Amino acid sequence: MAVALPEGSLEERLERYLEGFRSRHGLEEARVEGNTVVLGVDPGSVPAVLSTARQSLGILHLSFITVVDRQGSFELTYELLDMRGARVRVKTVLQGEESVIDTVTGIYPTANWHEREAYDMFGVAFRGHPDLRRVYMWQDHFDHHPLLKSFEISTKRTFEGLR
Amino acid sequence: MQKFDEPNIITTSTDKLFNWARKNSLWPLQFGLACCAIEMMSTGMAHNDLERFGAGFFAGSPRQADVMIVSGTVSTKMAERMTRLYEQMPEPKWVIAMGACAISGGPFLDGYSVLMGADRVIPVDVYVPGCPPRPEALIFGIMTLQKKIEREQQVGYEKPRPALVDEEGNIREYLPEREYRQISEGKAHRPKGIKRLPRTYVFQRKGLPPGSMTDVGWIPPEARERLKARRGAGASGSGEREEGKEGA
Amino acid sequence: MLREERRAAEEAITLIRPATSRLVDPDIRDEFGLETLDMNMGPQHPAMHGLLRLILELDGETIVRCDPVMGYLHRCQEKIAENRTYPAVIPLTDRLDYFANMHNEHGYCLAVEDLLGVEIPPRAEYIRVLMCELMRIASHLPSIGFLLLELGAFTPILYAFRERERIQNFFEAVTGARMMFHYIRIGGVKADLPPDIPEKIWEYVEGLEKRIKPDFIDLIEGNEIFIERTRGISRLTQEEAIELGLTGPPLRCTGVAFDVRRDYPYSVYPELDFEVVTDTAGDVEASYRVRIKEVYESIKIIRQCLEKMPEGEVMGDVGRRVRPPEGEGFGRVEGPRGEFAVHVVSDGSDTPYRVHYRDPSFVNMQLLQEKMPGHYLPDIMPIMGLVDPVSGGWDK
Repeated sequence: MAVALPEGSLEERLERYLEGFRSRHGLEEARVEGNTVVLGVDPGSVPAVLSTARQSLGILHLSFITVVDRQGSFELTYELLDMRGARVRVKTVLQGEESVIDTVTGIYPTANWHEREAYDMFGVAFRGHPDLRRVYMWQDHFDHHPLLKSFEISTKRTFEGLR
Repeated sequence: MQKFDEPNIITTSTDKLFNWARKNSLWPLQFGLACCAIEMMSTGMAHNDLERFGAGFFAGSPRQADVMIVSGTVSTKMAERMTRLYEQMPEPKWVIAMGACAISGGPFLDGYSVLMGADRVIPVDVYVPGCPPRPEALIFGIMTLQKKIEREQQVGYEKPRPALVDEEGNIREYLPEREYRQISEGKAHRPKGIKRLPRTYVFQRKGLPPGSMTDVGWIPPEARERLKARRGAGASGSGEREEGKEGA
Repeated sequence: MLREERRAAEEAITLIRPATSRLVDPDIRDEFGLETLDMNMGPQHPAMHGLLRLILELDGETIVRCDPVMGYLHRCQEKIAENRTYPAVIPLTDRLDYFANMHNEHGYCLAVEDLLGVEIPPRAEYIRVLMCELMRIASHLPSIGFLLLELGAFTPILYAFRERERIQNFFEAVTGARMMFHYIRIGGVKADLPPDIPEKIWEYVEGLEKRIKPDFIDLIEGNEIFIERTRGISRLTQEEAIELGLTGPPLRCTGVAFDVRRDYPYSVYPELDFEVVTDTAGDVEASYRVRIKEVYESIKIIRQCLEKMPEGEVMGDVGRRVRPPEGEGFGRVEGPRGEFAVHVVSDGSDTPYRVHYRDPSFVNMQLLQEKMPGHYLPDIMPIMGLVDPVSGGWDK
């Protein structure tokens, strides 16, 4: 019944993770920074990379999924923790305004609500998500996605002089 | 009040009697929205006891409540439910807006889903400022409400109505949530005679607002001498500082 | 996916599902024509945990489906933070999880300091840890109080808020405010502790350690009603807990020893000696035990902080104008409810480009959706006591 967390010292584990990712997938960038393995992947291979992390390498905890609106593309960051001191950060870039990516709910069930929040705030849709509804905003008659840079709120002008 | 010689007969007006009964047993509705709710709970707890004012029973259902203490940010999604709760409370009822968020939107004034104050949809009787207000401040707010209740009259008194009840007393359609966003941004239609709130940006404001009763306060004597000298010496000193000093 | 397709998919999901009872034998169900009842436990309800709307589908008293609807306190914090300068976001983070203000500020300041690469003086680090641990006590005791209030007992919450008032007195003496402190700043701490405060905190903590047993443990643990209503409710297994992404006391009460203070250490936690409290049962009573023991561990940490605190300044070399270089910063702290992480993206100007808060209450709430079916309607309250969400946290 007990869950087995990865063994070994920190450097050993980071090397092992880096090798595990590199050997299985073609990555755009892969490096180790401090206690983090930073990977850059293309959007189509995100589920494969994350399922390697879960099944082969034993990284069990998905901490958060962040979306950053770069005004023309979305930059997604998935941060995984192996609960013993190492972190794995997977970064993708989704081009274009209407953006779809495959869901990782089948691999990390906790991503369910993170992806709902990403959809609600940015409009990033997740193919295959069991329950893609809005989580904060009201569900009818609100066609906007608030955290996009094109959705301005009133104080944007207040601090213009400071930039 | 008039007392007779026998010890157990007092005459008073019904106004005073009813008001005395109502103000000393105000049962709040348990309407804790956000952080101010914690201070409301603290006020109800043993250290700052709200029970001694008769307001210790936080009613769970609006049908049994007298006072709705709006404690916390009212979001547009919650505004409709809040109005519905207000209308479920039986008369006589009062509303205390506790905290900066309930008064005017507070630190989240510019949010897209924050109502700029609870008084945009329901009539508020007492405003308690603070973020969050101390329990002593909330107790002061309840005592102010008690003084207000003392002044009430049973006849000849027009109580303000919530925004969704029109003059005949009919309930208009509950606004869909998108309308509340217009209310919260100050764009909604307001009845005649009420001016729309002007929105000023922080970088447009200079000096103190007009009609403000604050001055710049006490200045140490050495500094005052220096300022007087500078003011006398050059007329090219900043005009605003001179204006400010005039009030000192 | 085109916008129309997406809206159609959304609407398809929100259609009313057919009312069938999945927990009853199909033959009995068809024989008697049983149906489930859709009930709405609305945003205003006497439970203390905030504005949560639960759409429940009930079969008698058994819950078949539980769907939390959130957003009744959505305050647009991430959007507003993009329009404020870096130091001006700190009062906003105070109001996220308003039972753990210091932890929120600490997480955000760690993220910005990660971007800036500034060094924080050791005295400031010790003061931060001291404040955070005091805040943890001020959060765990009312959590236990709320759990018991919702079960019907009124005394523990009075005792809990008595302790919280005394701790708020200390916060007021140090920071100037009872609740929204705005104390932990980028680069350090706003001001030094007043000279008589460490002594008073020491005395208070000694008294508290003696008081917890008679005031909380003896009062609560042997109570038969408490045991009946919390033992065996929501038996979480370790796999389920990790799959759901739980952190904090809900995870540790199943037996997984994951604590951000020990595993991803920040501030001066590597130099402090404390244990990670776990329990194996995975039910609500286990979470209560974990929280009480964590109060003892916090007292231990506070004592060590007061003993080891060095002299020095309390603010690092950060000017008034914080303008970090372009990049990303991550900060992660262990709040009383779980792992609180902040991701700050900077574009080189005075205001952040994007701030994302990973709040533990938001993620721990998935437990309500997944684990509730099968329990009875009155078990909602103890399970909320296990998760202990705070509505400022899940709604940001």
